[in-house]
Amino acid sequence: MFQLIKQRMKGAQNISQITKAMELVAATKMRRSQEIAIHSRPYAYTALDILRTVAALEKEEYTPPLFTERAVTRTAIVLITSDKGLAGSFNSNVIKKFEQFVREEKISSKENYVCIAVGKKAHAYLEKQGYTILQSFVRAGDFTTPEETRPIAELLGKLYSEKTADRVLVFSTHFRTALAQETIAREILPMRAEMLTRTINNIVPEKGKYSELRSKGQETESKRKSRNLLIEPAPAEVLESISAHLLHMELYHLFMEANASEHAARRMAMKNASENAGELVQTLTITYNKLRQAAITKEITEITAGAEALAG
Amino acid sequence: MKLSVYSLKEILFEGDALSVTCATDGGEITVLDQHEPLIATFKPGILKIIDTEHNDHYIPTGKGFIEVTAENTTRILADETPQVTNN
Repeated sequence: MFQLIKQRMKGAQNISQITKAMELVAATKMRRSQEIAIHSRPYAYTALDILRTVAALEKEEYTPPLFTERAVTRTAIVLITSDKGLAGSFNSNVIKKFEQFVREEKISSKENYVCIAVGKKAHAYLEKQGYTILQSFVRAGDFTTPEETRPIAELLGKLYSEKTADRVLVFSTHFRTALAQETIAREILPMRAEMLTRTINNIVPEKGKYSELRSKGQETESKRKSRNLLIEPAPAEVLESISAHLLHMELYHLFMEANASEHAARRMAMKNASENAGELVQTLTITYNKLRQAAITKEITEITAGAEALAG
Repeated sequence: MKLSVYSLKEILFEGDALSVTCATDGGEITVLDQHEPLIATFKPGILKIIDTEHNDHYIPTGKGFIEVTAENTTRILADETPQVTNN
């Protein structure tokens, strides 16, 4: 009996040590990825704003393929999750959001949907559900680099311009604060002014650093439409390279946010785990001490009873 | 005019400037106050910025985009400069 409880105590103690270490690791990683995500915000904001300007342009001359809307029959879906688990509800929230979308759209046949899985968890889920997985991007590491997201952006651009997909949806997690992350479904292709505005509003933080960008964006909104824009050297070339590059940047930014969220979620999960393990150790220690005391009392009673019997 | 130069990692320049010179794909241009709205791509090179105190700033960049808006604001998005190694 004692041995059993002692073993469990030791186990719980080990767990709490491991989870505490993981919490610290996740906290450091979170701080770094948060820094990267936040530093890329002015860039991402400007990139999206330029895209929005281009999207709002008069469509007479030339519309780059990524801006052309058409009737939707085939949809490409990108699920951004992590490779590793133990991150609380981080991955399941993305999947839940996706399932909610499936219910709302009343998807009966999975034929018209192609999926791109980012992270092992998304891959495992989509495979189990029987969706067509076009490509999986796994082992991206803790901090995604622009080089790693480039193939994904290129793939999406190609899917859209070759009309394999008529729209592209991304399910990912947005890093609001270290304690609050939000899963958001975004339609990133075709690029439309309203959708870009929504994404911009998501990127610009509610308060603190860079929050001043939020009001700035709204001011210029009305002036945007009525102007002549000089595009050099040739509109077609420039717009095409801009839209491809900025699509990449938008995607990269979503990845950065997802990275930061993953580490934040893991930190919280590990923090809770260490606390629970600590509580468990405490209750086990109390039980152990009580049992030990009871055993001692019993032994003493037996000895005194025996001694009295002998004396008597 | 208001000028901001951003790369993915940092803010390279932010503030008022008299002019900015960059080598676009169509040739080198200098953007002055009240330039007409423009979007252009530029090659890797060095941006030359003259601020309101007539100080020159030289910022090496990779390729990128320049946007001039009707509100006298110029925004430049630049890639990182490729790492130069000494070996």
